[in-house]
Amino acid sequence: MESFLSYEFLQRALLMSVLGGSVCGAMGVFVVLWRMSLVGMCISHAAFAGALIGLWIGFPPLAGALAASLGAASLVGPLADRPGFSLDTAIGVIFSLVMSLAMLALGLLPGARTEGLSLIWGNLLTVTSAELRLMGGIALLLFLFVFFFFKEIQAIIGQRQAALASGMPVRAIRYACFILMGFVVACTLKAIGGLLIFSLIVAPAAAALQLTYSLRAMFLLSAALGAAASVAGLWLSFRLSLPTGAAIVLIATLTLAAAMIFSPKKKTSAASPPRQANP
Amino acid sequence: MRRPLARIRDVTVYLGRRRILENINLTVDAGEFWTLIGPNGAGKSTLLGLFNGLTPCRTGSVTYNGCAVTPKTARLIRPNIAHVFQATDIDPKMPMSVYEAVLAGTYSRLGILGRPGKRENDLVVQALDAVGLSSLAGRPIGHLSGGERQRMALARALVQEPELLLLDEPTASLDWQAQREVLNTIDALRRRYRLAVFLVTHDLNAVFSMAANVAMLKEGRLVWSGPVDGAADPDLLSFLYSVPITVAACGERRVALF
Repeated sequence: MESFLSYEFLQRALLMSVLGGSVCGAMGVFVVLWRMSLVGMCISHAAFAGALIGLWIGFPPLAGALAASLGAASLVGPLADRPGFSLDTAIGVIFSLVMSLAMLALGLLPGARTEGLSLIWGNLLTVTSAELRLMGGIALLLFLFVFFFFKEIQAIIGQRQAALASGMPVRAIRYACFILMGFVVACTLKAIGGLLIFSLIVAPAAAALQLTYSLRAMFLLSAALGAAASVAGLWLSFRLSLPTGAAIVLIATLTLAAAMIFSPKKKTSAASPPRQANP
Repeated sequence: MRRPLARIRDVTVYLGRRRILENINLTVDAGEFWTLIGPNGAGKSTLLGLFNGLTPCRTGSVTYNGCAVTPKTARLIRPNIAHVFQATDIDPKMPMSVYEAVLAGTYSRLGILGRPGKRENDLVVQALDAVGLSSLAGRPIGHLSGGERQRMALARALVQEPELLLLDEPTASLDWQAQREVLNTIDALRRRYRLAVFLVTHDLNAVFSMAANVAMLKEGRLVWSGPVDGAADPDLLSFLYSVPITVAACGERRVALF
């Protein structure tokens, strides 16, 4: 471990793992409970396409990823709210569009395309101090969002229709959440990779859902599992010379599998006697 | 003395090019119990949504306590109107207890930065007691039966401290026992809290035994509205549902048969 931490680039990678993993994990709570996995996938692939287009036209990939993911995030909500236009349809349209743009940009990239290809798999080891500071800012933003709007988030997660009918700002909270996801995905894209980032968002939250009935605990647990998977993946990739992003996602997925197997909720439902309709 | 609470005047609602409601006129006074009946697809839920602005209308007007219900004012008016929807499935793993779900009913009055305090928690305790769910306060909401879930929704509506309670087929997909329990709870709550109630239902027998006023909706048009005594008319009901319906006396109760 000492040799692991003796390199400055590994220290930055470790810090990015903790920040990125916890932010992705916490963000995943919205994705899993609002059942918007496809939205997350759409935004993460938009970020990937934006980064590639940025590379192609000579812009920093982060700027391209931010612009594209925020663009997709701001399109998905209003499109889905149009009468007669379902969320599935909106996502289907945007997903196909961003994937074709990503492939187009990748095809048009001149030279060896190393940087472009690294955006697919991610590279924690090349994280810069500026990217770390940005990730810290996103983590703070997400924390403040959950802290100040916890009661709204809780009301909307449990009973969205009732929350809307009682006058709560359901649409504003949902759109803010999409935009936040755009920021999170764009900022973690380079470290984790365009094809893998989405797993790091969903797997820790899905694992946390297996383990608790408290929303507060789910946020904390999901962030902790995301950070733990990222750190473990980074360490494993250092020891075994594995691709970092893939190692992180594999560990996150194994954590989910373990949570599903050992879920106390599974035991409760299996052990419960048939419930009378009216106790 | 009658106090008009909600008024719908000359409202026509379109979804795309399809006309869902046509020239609707209806007034609900404070403390009144209305039921809305009609066949599937008549526009009952759409009409219900007019009261709190969930259904936007471009022609005609909707007012609540004299204030026009528009997209701009709807969010300010909604805390005064509680809306209970049909029972839907909830993920058994959903990380929320019955207590937390009911407490969420107080949030719209608290505003963005407000936090629930003793008053809100007291309201939840009272509401859970009123609907008979005190013993299930700590249970995850996904573990409730359909009838319990609807009583929880009623408790959530109560803590909102509304003047008008909108109920959209609250007994749909419930067994008979659960239906009776939910309807009895609604009736008891209405009397206890002096609420105006607007209930959408297919249960004609509940209409005859509970409601004071009935509105009948067919193909988006209000074909009849008035006191419940006039609604127990076989010809009128047969026309409404397009099937022969008779009304029989069963002791002091009237029962619809088809």
